[in-house]
Parts: sequence; structure tokens; C-alpha cells
Amino acid sequence: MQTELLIKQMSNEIGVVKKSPSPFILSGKLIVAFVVYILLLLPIFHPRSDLSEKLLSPLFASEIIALAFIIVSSCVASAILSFPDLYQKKTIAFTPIIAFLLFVLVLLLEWLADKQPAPLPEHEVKCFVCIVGLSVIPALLLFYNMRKIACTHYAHAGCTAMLSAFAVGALVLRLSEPTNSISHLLQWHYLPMLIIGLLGMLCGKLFLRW
Amino acid sequence: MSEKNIEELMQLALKGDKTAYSRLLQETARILRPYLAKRINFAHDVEDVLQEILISIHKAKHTYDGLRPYKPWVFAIANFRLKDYLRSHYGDNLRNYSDLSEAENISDENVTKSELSYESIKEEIDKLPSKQAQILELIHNEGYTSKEVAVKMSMTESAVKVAAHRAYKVLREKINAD
Repeated sequence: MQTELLIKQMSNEIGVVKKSPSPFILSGKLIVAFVVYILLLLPIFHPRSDLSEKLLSPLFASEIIALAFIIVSSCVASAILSFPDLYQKKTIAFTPIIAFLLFVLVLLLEWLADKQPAPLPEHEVKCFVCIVGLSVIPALLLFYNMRKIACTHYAHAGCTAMLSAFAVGALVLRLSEPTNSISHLLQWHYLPMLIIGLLGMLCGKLFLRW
Repeated sequence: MSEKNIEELMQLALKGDKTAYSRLLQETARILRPYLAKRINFAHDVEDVLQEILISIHKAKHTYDGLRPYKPWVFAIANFRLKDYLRSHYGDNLRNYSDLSEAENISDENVTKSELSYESIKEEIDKLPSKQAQILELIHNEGYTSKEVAVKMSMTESAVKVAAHRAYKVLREKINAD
């Protein structure tokens, strides 16, 4: 088909176009949805009994804040990455890296502060399965909204989306599971979260094509 | 046409103005054609990729809000589709490359030499696809080696040998038939 003919065909098809919401509005809505989701889940999973006491501990509070920062930054980055030109705000797409480095730093400080290691819980893989289960809805919500736009960075977008969704799951579990063992948290909460975040690259390639 | 005018056209197009949209796509095609021609070797592929990009622009038009510059948005889509094309093009070439190597290995004749003289089969050679004919002319009429032909025609040496091999095969069939 000749290009001129194609242009003519497409011009005849055009009507009033409903614009995509700005990535900031979209991510704002998603973050509100995640907060509601977390608030709904917490009573079901029962917050840990010493939560108010733990929130006064600077390291625990920092860990929660860093996790929340990962959720927010990854969610905004996912929305930005859903636009073909990254909404011409490329740097925002890389903020999850800063969030993740901060999170690693907090974990490192917790590790160093853990001089008398807390006892390991009996369960292990159960935590990972739980995080996966809790993350399914946020992941579906993110991918559903991203698919409606026009992503040109499948792998990066998939990675940030999965990271955001799994950080939601990890946050819920961290606020409800009464464990203080940093090695357990690293091995069964956060390492799988990172691995799944990386697997998100594949999900991005599979589900964000247009 | 200035950047501002293109953005105005896009804003009109988003409101459903068919004429503005048609002008916008024509202007976009005019901007993109030389950009693609620089990066794609084959003229017919340039037009194909351009059409792919225009279709993608059409599909992604809802992601442009009319507030940010138009060209970075268009070039983001253009680069995305260009990379897709290059990936599949070179992917195909790589897949074919193993076939070419195999063909080279099983080919027992020396493709740079032929018992037939170039002049005696010139008419048949001219009927071959232009690239094959050009390769045979360079090798047998002008005395280039296949390596030199490869450099001259921006091809790999294996590809030159295989093209020559295919040309010989066609010529042999024709000559035998006669």
C-alpha cells in the first residue's frame, strides 16, 4: 500500500480522541488504590502486635518508609514508562533505582545493628508465597492500566511495575509478620521481591506489546 | 513547517479534524523519510518502516496531550519501530547466515572461477536478478575477488559467494536446458 493512501485511510478514521491521563494522575490513582488495598488487607492479616512500638524504632520506620518509597517511585516510573516518549521526563523513570539503593542501605544498617540475631521463624517459603499472592492484584492493576497506553520500553516498564506490585505485598507482610530476623527478611521477603522485579522484564515484553 | 505549527495540527487532529490530521501525517512522513533512509539500506524497506511508524502514531495518538513538544514524541515512536525492524532484519540475517555458511560448506565448486566465459553467457547473466548479475560481472568481467566484491557491495564475503553460487546454479540449469 502506498503511504499516501495509508495517510488518507487513517485521516478518514480519526474522530475526537480521548487522551490518556497524565502519568502523574494515573500513578496517583494507582497509589491511592494500593493504599486502600493495604488498609483492607491489614485487618485480615492482623498487624503485628508490637507494630506501634516497632514504628518508633528508627530502623524499622526507615525500612517501611523506604519500602513505601519503592512503591511510589516504581508506580510513577511505570506510568511514565507507559508513554512512548516517557512523557519527556526520562529521569523520573530511573527514580526506583534511588529508592532501591536507599532500601538496601537501610537493610544494611539493620544487618549491622543485628548483633544478637533474632531467632529465625519456622516458616520460610510461606512468606514468599504470601507476598506473591498479595502482589497479584496490584500487578494486574498496573499492567491493565499500562496496556491502555503505548509503552516503548517493555522490559524497563515491566520491571518497575512488578517491583511496585511486589513491594506492596512485602509491605503488607512486613507490617503483619512478627519476625525481626533480618536474614529471614532478606532471604524470603526482599530477595524474591528483587528477583520477581527482574522477571518483570519478561512480563513487560509479554504483556505490554502493542 | 515550524514545530509550533505541527503541534497545532496535532491539537486540531485530536479534536477530530481530518484535514489537519492528514497534513500532520504527511508532514511527519516528510520529516521521517530522510531519517529512516539514513539508517536503512533498502529503499523499499524505508517506505515499509515509515508506514509502520505512521500506523503506530495513529494507534498511540491518545498518548499525546498537545502540551509537550511533538517531535520528541514522534521520534520516540519512530525509534521504537526502527529498532523493531532492525532487530528482525538482522535476526533474519543471522538465521540465514548459518544457512549461508552451510551452503558455502556444501558447495564444492570454486565460485570465483567458471569454465564458461563471461562473454559467452552475457545475455543469460543480464536476465539474472541485478545483484547476482552485478556480482558475476565484477568477478568475471572486471576481475575482482569475492572479498573485494563484498567490500564494494557492502555484503559479507559468504553472501557474495552464495549469491554467485545461486547465479551459477540458475545459469547451469538454463544452459543445460538449451
